Amino acid sequence: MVPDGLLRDLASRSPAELAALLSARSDAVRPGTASFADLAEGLVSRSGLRRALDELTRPELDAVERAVVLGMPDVPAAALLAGPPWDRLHRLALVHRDDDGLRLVPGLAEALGRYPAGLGRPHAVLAAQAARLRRGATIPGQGPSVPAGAPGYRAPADVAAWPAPVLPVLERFRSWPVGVLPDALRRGDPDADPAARPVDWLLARGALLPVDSRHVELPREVGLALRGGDPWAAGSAEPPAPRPARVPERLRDNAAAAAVEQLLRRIAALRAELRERPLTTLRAGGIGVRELRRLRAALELEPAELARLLGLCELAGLVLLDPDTSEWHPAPAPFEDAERPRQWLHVLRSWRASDVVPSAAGVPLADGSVVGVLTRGTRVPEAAPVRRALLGSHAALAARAPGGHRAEDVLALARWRRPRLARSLDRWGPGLLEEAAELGLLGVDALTAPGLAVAEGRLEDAARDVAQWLPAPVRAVLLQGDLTATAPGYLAPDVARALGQLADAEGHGPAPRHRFTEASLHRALDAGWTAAGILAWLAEHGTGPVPQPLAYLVEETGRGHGRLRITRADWVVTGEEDLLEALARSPELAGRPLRRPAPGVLVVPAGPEGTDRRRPPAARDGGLEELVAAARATGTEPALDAGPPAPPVPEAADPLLLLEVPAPRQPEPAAEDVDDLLARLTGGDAPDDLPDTPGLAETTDHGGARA
Amino acid sequence: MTGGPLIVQSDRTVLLELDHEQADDARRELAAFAELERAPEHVHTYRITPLGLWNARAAGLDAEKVLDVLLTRSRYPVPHGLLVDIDETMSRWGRLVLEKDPVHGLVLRSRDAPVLEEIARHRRIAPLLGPRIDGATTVVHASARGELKQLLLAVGWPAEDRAGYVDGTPHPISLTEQDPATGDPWALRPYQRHAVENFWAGGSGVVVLPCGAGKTLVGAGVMAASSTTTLVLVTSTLSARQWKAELLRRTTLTEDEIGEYSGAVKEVRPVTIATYQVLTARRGGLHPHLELLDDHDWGLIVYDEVHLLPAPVFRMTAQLQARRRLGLTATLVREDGREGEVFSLIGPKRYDAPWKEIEAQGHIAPADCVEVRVELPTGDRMAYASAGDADRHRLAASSAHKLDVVARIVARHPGEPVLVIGQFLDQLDELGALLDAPVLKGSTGTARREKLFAAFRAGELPVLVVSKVANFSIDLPEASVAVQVSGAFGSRQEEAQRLGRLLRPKRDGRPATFYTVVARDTVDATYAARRRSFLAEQGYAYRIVDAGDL
Repeated sequence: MVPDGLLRDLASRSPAELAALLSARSDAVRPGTASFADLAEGLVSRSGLRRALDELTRPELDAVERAVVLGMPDVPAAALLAGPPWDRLHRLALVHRDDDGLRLVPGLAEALGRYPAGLGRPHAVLAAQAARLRRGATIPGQGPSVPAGAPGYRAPADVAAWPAPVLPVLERFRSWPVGVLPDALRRGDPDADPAARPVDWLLARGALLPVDSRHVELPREVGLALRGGDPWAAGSAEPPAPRPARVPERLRDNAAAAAVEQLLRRIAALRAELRERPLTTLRAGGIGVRELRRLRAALELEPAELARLLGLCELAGLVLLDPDTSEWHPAPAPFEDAERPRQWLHVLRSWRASDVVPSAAGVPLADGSVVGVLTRGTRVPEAAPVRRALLGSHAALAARAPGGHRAEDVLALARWRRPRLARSLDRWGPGLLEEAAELGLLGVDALTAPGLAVAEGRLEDAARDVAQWLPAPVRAVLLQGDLTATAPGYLAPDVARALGQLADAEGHGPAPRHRFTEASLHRALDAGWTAAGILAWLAEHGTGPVPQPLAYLVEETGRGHGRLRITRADWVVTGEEDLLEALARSPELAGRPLRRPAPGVLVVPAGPEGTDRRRPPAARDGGLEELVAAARATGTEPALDAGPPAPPVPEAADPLLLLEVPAPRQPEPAAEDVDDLLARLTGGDAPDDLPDTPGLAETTDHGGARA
Repeated sequence: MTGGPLIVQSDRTVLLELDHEQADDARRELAAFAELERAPEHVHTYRITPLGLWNARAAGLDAEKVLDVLLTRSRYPVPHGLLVDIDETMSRWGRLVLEKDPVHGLVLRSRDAPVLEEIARHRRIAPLLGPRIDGATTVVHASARGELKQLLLAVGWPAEDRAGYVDGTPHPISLTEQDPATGDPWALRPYQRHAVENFWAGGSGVVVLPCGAGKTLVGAGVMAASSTTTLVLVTSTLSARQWKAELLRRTTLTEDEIGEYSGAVKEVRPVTIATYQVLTARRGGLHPHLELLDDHDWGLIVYDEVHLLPAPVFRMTAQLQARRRLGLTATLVREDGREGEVFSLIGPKRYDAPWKEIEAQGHIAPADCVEVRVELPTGDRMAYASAGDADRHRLAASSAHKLDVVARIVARHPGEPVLVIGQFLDQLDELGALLDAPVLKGSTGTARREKLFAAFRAGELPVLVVSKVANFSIDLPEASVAVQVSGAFGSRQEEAQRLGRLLRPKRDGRPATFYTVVARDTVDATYAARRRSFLAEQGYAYRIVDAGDL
């Protein structure tokens, strides 16, 4: 039930204030929201309140917790609203005016959770529950000296006056009110020696009360007494001070730009590798060690780097799990054809909203196992707010003190700015900061221009900044007498594809290098190139004339290509008679019943074919590998007319539109919906300067920090 | 991004684009800390290795300068991890220093106590160390100086050796000003002088110069600077004699002052030239001649072709760290990957110049490399295709169809001295008969070898057929054409040495031509491709022609 006071409060807000509210709490806007009453319903919903609480700073959360536990301050609303933290709590509609007072919106206490500020429930609640439990369990023995649930129970005003031996026990409940106790339902013993049996002494006085047979809870009154009656008194109104390291702009931007270039290159390399050899999953789920090792070797990555790369590709929809084969394939959309700044923006946008935390892979779990790569274990519901908290904290630090900020300092500020996310920040924060560095948002621990833009929700601006780091693709390669082609920069996708067919990639870095070999050229000829076509392509795309040894190699390979030809069926090998004779005699084919139906033709019976992954590859391809090895041993590379057809590549004006990005659990509402509602509520009198991306942005921070 | 000529790859290689206007400056700066790996015509590849970085530190370069070169000259952003790694690696050099203490003798010092603690606790290093003097100093057993340096390098904490050298027995040596044979005045070329100066400033280490660029003269220059008794270690008796002849021409040393210590003669003189072979000869499980290294008070030891230094000499060299050591080589690439031992036992690289640069200065002859492909007739192909793996190379490489091609090549160069080089003795004998030329093999006596080489040098023999004995250190400055008819299983080293035979500058300035005859579509061509990769990477682009098109 929404109180009238909240409705009146909302209706009294100016269009600008409403716009700010909708921007900050866009999750309250649901399909069908059309009135203040609808909006208020959304604002006081449990999930809406929780998300709003997650965005509060330490002083703001302290104020809410204090009001829930000790009651609202006895001060007129106008005085409270004149400054922090109540002004922001009001702007976020977590409190509303009612008559002259300020009230917490309904449901806020429940949204804080059972133990606000780590305090237990009131004694009366616990005592009633304990009585029910003990009745159910028919616990014998003496009753407590302070009857459980007796009206007028008051916690001892001075816990320090209790016998000293019980204080260490109470200390264990200082930050969390629940503890494990075997036989928790026993009533304790009022005459127990506090030095020998402190727990029984406390149980008998109702200072610990059972919540089930194995757990006890410290009543709120005792907890408050233990913490001096006001646990929030010592709370810091000031954020932790920054301790910046000097990072020259050149070094910062170099690191970030190199990271962006490297990330996009690695994504392309990973997708190319998976196109050739999809990633198989284990029956139990996840990816096996052997598969990961293969990928690491192919891409030359450390285990953690590979895990992050796979996770990023998953969250951006760049790799997909085929449910029929349980294999990960690259998404068919030609992601690489998009301009690199757009590629980056796509990955960044997906990362920012996703539940998937790629760096979570490898994090140890309570049962001793670790989170597996590409498993559900990498899904973290609060990932998006944690990312926002980290980037916001970085931006706040940068505003106060430019330079590099170590992860622990960023996390300390983030914990102050978003205390409700403290656990998630501690668990996922360091990994997410590494991911941010890989995306170029940080360089040498300093926030970059794109990083600041992302922190402020200006994603298109960020992409423009990143574009300056990613020069336009080159279309020409340097051909050399050592049979290599070096592209002096990022190669245009169509040129890169063609070159990839003609030559083998070598090394890793911003300048792709390829080496022409007989094998690579045979592969191209098999794929339909001709020697003349290759030479023409080289002449068109090489700077300067084609080196003579390279031209010779192409012609020589073309001349020899197809002297032996293998086609499907049983393997039918056609070619020159002497080569066929040598092939027929080769030890690799010994024992196989060969037929020579005509001059220049050799038929080799195909072995059994199948997709059973446990069988060696030679057996899976019907013995083709053995046949090719035998042909090579005669000194001739055979032409294969047996390759499977390549899958069709979909085409679109913008290849990124073809990617299906996995939706996060809590998607943000579309900006248009928010705009529509605002127009409806204000009668079209909406301000022009709405933030372009919805989010829970703050306008001020206590202590001068800004986000 | 600077638009510079360097592209730093994430695999720790650095590409240098030669056509860029800043290429020369960038090359000079880059070569100080990165190893040149490949130098074809447009893009050179350098590699950043710990050894290269420590070489740079030994030469006085600091990490800040290295990072500045990369950031300033690089066209694209440099992976930050690489920058951090360079800084970290370079900071390791000099944290451990070997010094001479007036009281305690040889000591290892470090201003970084934890590092000293770490290495002092190392299982293999601890026995080499004596008592700890203070937190920063520990005594080192004098005999362990070399072994300690090797182990420290292996654990990533290379020690800077500032313990100095024994003076050795003084012996006056100067360079001549005139070539006594011709009466022409001569002097060290600028790069040779530079190499001598760099070496002398550094104490011990390696000078890398291409074949034909006058490494022997650098040796002579260093000997003159040292003016002490000197031991020169070379790869063969022939090479020893060429060293002797060169020293007689270029220095004030006389016949009596230079001794040969080889299989044939065992002379110990103020300057003694010994072969690796005799030093490593075993008798009863011992190396009786290895003592030569340490039994005399040498002030300088010269290791010719240091990339071929055999293991026993390495072991003995570890004991000789108090003597000044000069390594000479055309390449630091060791097929056995023991570059680290050269670094720790002989010393850091003191001078390096790319082949092409010296060629451009006119000090070595330009070379024209031609691969001639011979088509085997059907019968030979059948024999080849049906042969076992072991026989295929021999069948292809020694095909009789190559003989005619070699004869045609020789006929194309009338009046020019031609070397025909091969691996299979039968084939060489056939070629000798066909070309009416003497054949020089392993079984040929030293006296006859010298006579043949002398006749070839004098122009009396137009064609000489040689086996692999001619690979190393035999100076045939007048050979301007070489025909390689068969080679080993693709040794990069071998190809470099063979071409090196031809790279001495010719008096009339004519270019050298290097032919390789290979059988098409066989393993012979595969091996040839591998062998030539080294030279192609050095910028010697091959032309490939069909035998029919000769």
